[in-house]
Amino acid sequence: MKHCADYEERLNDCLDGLLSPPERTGVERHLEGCASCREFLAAMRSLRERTASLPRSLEPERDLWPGIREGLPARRAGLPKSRAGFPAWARGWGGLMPAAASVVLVILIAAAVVIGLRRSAVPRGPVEGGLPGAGTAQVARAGQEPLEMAEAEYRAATEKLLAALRSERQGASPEALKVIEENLRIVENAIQEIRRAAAGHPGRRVDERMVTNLYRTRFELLRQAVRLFAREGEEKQS
Amino acid sequence: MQALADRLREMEPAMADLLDEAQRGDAAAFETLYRLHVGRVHALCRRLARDPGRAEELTQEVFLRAWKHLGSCPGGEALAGWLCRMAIHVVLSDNRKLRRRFWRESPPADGVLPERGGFQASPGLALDLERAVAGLPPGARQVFVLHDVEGFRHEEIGRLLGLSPGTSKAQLHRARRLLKEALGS
Repeated sequence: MKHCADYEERLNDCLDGLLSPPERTGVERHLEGCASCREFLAAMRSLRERTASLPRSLEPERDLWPGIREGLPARRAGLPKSRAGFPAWARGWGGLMPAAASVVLVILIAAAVVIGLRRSAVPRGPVEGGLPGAGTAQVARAGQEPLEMAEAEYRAATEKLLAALRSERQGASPEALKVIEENLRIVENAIQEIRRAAAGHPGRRVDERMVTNLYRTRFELLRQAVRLFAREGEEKQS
Repeated sequence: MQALADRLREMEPAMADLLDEAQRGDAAAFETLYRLHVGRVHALCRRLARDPGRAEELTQEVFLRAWKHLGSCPGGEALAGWLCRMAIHVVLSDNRKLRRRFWRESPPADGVLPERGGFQASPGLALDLERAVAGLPPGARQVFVLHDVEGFRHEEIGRLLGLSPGTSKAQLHRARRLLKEALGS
């Protein structure tokens, strides 16, 4: 059924809330007697809802950072070797510097995970005809979802790094370790909180690639902290 | 959830610190900002540029340009919006260059610029709608993405695309009508 062409603009404006009250009343009056325009408006509303559920964040297929890093022109003289790579707010914290820097970065990455999970947990419209190839980008092992696999791998790797930090050789102070462990706990709790919220709404899913990328990033940052502790430990010994 | 929201609010000062450090030239801080915002910037590039490979190149270009002009970013909270506007300028400018080059080298008989690629399967995408959006004519697609997906107003879209607000509105209505037809709704 074809809607009235001369009402199309007004129906769109009605959808976007751009009509004045008298104009709106006029459109409502027209809709009462015109089934095709009612149908058109319902279809536009449905399209708007589906559009609102599109993910606003799409992770690239590959990590683009190496290419960007290569292209960044230097903007200042290098910092002392043992402090390079850590921001000023961390450089001023003495013995806790590497831990503090990694903690802030870990929290920020966790925030992105949390925000990502929230965004991706928005209910989507029905998917007609299935998604060709959807879910095949990351093939899960038998009985395990890709995200669960990534989480398991991430947790195992994090434990290894924490064990390295705890070892005497790395020289991390108990205070620094306490800060790192406390913040890893906060992040873990936040992720679990989101998972619980998402579990209450069947049909919602998370963007696995984005989350696994963030886990990877977080792991890398923790690894950098371990390297720095190791370097500082060596400097102390020499 | 409230506890989580409070925790996220507490992180804002850390974000401002990171931006401050990146503005002073700290690449590590900039990398963290990149990790936090790349998905958002890439989504815009992908939808405006359509071609997946080109979208990745443009995303890189956005962050390179952001590094260069980071001093003019108004603050940690405004960073996402600032990056999105930069992404729009980068993609539109590249679209114009591409169009000029194409017309110079091999002007099409029907005057229509062909576009490569489209949305490929990715987990979690509302793929049918993404594909339908990717199949829209360039002008209608740009306005639809900026208005209905990104939430820009017609006045701002008009400024960004060099259109009058009325033309932006007409393109939006056209895009919605075409999408309705494409999706069979």
